[in-house]
Amino acid sequence: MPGSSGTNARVIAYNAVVQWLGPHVNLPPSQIKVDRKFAGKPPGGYGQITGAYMTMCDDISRTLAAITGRKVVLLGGWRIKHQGDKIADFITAVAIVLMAAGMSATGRNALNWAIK
Amino acid sequence: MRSVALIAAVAAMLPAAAKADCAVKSTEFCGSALAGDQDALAQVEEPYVVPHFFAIRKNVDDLRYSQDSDEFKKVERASVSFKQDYEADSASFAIDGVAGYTYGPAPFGRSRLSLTPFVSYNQNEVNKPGIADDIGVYDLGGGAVGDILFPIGRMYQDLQFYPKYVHSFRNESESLTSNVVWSPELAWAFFGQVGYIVPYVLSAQFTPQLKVAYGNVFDAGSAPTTLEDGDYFRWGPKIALAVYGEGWLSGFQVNLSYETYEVSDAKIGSLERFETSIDYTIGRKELWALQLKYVDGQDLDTWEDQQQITLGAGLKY
Repeated sequence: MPGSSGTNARVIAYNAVVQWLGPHVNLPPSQIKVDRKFAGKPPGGYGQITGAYMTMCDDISRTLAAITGRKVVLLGGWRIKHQGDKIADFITAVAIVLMAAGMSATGRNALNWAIK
Repeated sequence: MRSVALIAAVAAMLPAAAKADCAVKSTEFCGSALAGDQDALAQVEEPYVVPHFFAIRKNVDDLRYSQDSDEFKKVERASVSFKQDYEADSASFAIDGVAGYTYGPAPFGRSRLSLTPFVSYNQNEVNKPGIADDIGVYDLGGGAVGDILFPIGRMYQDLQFYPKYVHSFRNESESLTSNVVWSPELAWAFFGQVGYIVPYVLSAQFTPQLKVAYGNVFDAGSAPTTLEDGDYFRWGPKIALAVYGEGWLSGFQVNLSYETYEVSDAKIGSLERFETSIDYTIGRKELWALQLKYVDGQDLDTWEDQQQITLGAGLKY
């Protein structure tokens, strides 16, 4: 498997974020610039309002939990703290949460089933 | 079958330590879960501390945004300006701004809450040939803003509420208003974020709101005005559109907004106001701006008719 677990976690988080944000700003995910911020008017950000940011956090939590089998929860204080991040920094922060999250029962079952 | 295998494969990429007892709490990070390129990922995350700060803005709605916030670039500046009104054949001098102290946002599950006490001052001194010198607005106000963001299903709602007292030095009138602004925080393109019309050159964003206000004019004052003693209630929608330029259009921004209200228990049955502006911002932090603005409709506080075009410089701090 190429790369370390940290790199893989960031790749997974990157894909979850740009796949969500692309259609929501009317751009292909491949054209999302991760050196920008979510909020703030262009060119510094994508003008994301707080409610949309919260919806995005909800959605990517579910996406990451479904893909990895981990109990990914982006808590309220964490969301406020990272709302002003550049997208790249936000992705790294999500990757840290992802790596630290415990396995869900479904995820554990999936892993046990796969390694049998 | 393929998706289950994908879940297992992705899970296997992640460190075994994370499967055990390591759990992230709201204020701390369990660094022992990291494996591999620890250098690329932060080891410790500082706990979130609820912020509190002083701010000067043009609009009360914008006091909640700190200078560190991304929304800070969108807020309007408190301003001092000279104005030529071609409709009224007059010239004027204006000061318009609010100052407040914000505590928050504080998280409560998926919701947030913040509170801001504030004072406001609005002066619009008009010089018009042949008219007595009492034309003008000299309003001092004070109040508080509360803001709560909460989810209903997948969609978030933002509810701002602020009681505001205004004393007019022009006619010694006194009024108290209680405003509620509901903003459906849609996550769609062109609403929750900008939507690109031309990729990385031109984008646009709509902001819909519903505003409700209850007012008590307990002293209508001495000079002629549309205000009168008693209660009133008004409600209505506001829609705003912002168009942003970047690339070769960088620094330019066009704003349009229209709001209309039904008013009960007052001399006026309805209010409406249209505003449009073209802005050119200067500097990396956009602290200074040049603005050409057109207003047509009624002043929402004094209910007086307005039709003005303004050229001014703005500052926010």
